[in-house]
Amino acid sequence: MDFAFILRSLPLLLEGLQLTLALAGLALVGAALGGIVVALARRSTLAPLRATSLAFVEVMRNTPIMVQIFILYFGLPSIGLYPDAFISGVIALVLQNSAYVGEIYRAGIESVNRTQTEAALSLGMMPRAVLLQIVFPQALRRVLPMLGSQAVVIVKDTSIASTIAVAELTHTGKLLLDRSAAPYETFLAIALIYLAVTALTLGALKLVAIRFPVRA
Amino acid sequence: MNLASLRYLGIGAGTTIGLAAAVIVLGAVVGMLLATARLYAWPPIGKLAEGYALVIRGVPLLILLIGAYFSLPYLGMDMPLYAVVILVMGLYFGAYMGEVFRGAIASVPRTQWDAGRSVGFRWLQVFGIVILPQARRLCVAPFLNVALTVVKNTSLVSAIGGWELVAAGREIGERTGDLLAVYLAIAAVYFAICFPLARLATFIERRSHA
Amino acid sequence: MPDPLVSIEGVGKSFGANRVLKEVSLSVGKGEVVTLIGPSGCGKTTLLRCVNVLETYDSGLITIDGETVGIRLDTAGTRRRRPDHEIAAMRARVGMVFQSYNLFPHLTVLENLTVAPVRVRGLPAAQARDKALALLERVGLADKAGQYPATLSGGQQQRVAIARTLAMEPSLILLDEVTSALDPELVGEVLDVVQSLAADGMTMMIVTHEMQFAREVSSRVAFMAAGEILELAPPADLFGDPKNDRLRAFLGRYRAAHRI
Repeated sequence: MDFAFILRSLPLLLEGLQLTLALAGLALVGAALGGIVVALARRSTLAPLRATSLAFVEVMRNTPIMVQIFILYFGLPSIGLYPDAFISGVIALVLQNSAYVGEIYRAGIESVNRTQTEAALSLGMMPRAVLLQIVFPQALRRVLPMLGSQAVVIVKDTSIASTIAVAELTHTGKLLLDRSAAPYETFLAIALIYLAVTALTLGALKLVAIRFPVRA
Repeated sequence: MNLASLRYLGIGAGTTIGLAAAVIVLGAVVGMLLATARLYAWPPIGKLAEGYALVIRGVPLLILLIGAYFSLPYLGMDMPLYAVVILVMGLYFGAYMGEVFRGAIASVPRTQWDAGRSVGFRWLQVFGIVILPQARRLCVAPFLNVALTVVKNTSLVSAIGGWELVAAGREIGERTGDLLAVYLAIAAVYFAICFPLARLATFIERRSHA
Repeated sequence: MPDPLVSIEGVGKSFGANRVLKEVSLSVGKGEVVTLIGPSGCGKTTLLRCVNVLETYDSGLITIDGETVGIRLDTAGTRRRRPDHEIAAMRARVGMVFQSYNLFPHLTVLENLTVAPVRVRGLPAAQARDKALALLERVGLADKAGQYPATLSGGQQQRVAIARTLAMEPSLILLDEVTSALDPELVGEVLDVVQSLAADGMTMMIVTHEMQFAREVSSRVAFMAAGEILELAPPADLFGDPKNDRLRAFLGRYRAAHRI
């Protein structure tokens, strides 16, 4: 096992990792916020809003992220828009995962018993305060495991940005594998880096789950 | 988008479905092995299976495919690309299916084992006649969801030079120049394949909760 | 009755084709405790929930302290749902205790008592805390202030729920089968608290299956069946000398079931 090679390629790999983390970080934040929009729209009292968000969710969940990235990066130029590769990756990740995260939020909200809402309303709280103070805190605690899984999916899906030449970890890995004499070591290194990142993501969410447990 | 292009896309879609089907079958077999290993085998084997699943779930499929692609020259050079792809994706999604199966089997109440044993069944009979049929009901919906993910992930095959729906579309796009229309069409085809599966999964999920 | 606190006039309510309330009329004076009894499905819980707009009634009028509940009648007589903030303001003056306690599991006992006074009445946190502790003292649970509801027994949770409504200083408290979900040995501690509230002059509307308790705490008892009030009288009269046939049958079944 040629460790020297790995050490030499480490700087390049870490540069790739930076972009992976940038993509993942932006996508995580974007999806966390976008999911709120989706969840609220899905539960809206306005039928057109419900229908649109439902269509959005179904389209996002039934088309591959790679195709979505291609539509943005290769397709939009046909109508005069030229998004940057990195931005295409971020937008596609945010859109797709907003749909998934939104459904997770919605499942959480619906799992909170209606009687909680009634009790809060009976105390004179306004509906919005009920949502923010009573329903959301309970809903989020319940879906933390699913949010954790989704976060890992986001981190892994950043690899697909390599198909449009975003120089994140997988793309860097491809380059190295191409010109390296030690493919197995390179591959191992990349796999270990991904494992570390996903493990840390899950670990972070476990910590959040400890701080905000479900106290049923 | 003329008729010839649509036919070409159709062949691509067929390839995608074929690939996905093969991966799903292999994945189901692998998943079943992993699930039984974690539930019933000698603990170290079970731990190995658990470790395998953890590693797979922490590494992107694309890098595994790329790694396999680069191994081709070093290993069985006469293994066609499709075979390698099916093998890698089967092993990858096998881990996810293992989780689905394990969850479903574990949800069958322990008391069913007592019931099966008490009518004289041997272990394999209890497992096959009493436990599995009950687990099957519980696992169909999540299994379909994994299957859906398989279909979508066949798109990655195009990234390592394989030919399927996305590759077909890209070829058409390079000829006609209208990439937006082509990729939207590809998205529509995926939607047409996946949406019914998703609806089926939701329908089954609702029924099993009723 | 001069100036009742709660006035229910001709209230009707349907769930789809099912008429759950048929022209119910009832007044509750200040300091009175009116208990609703009756077989399942008679509408007693629905009536209670109409009083704090957890259900909307289709016809008739409910007023509390002269203010119409849930709806406003404009000059042409059309019924319009009152805006959210008006309904919320009214709910702040009417407390409700539920069969399943409905404490907020992610907040401590103390936080359960302070969240509404702080957020709805704008009470400063320290003041809300002191009031909450005093109320917990009153229901005998001051030592549980920092605990989470899941660690408490059913009876304890229900007493906290009562304290939570008291924290909003309501002029009326609605109690919906507050002991039905409790193990028998825990029922007494909750009924004791309700008794003390009655003794302090709190106006209450109670729905219950506990006939003995209804007898002890009520100023008047209303027997409901199929969406109507069939008999309304002080407990001594209603239980001692029931006039309505269905009421007699109901009490007969109850006594037989409890081997009285």
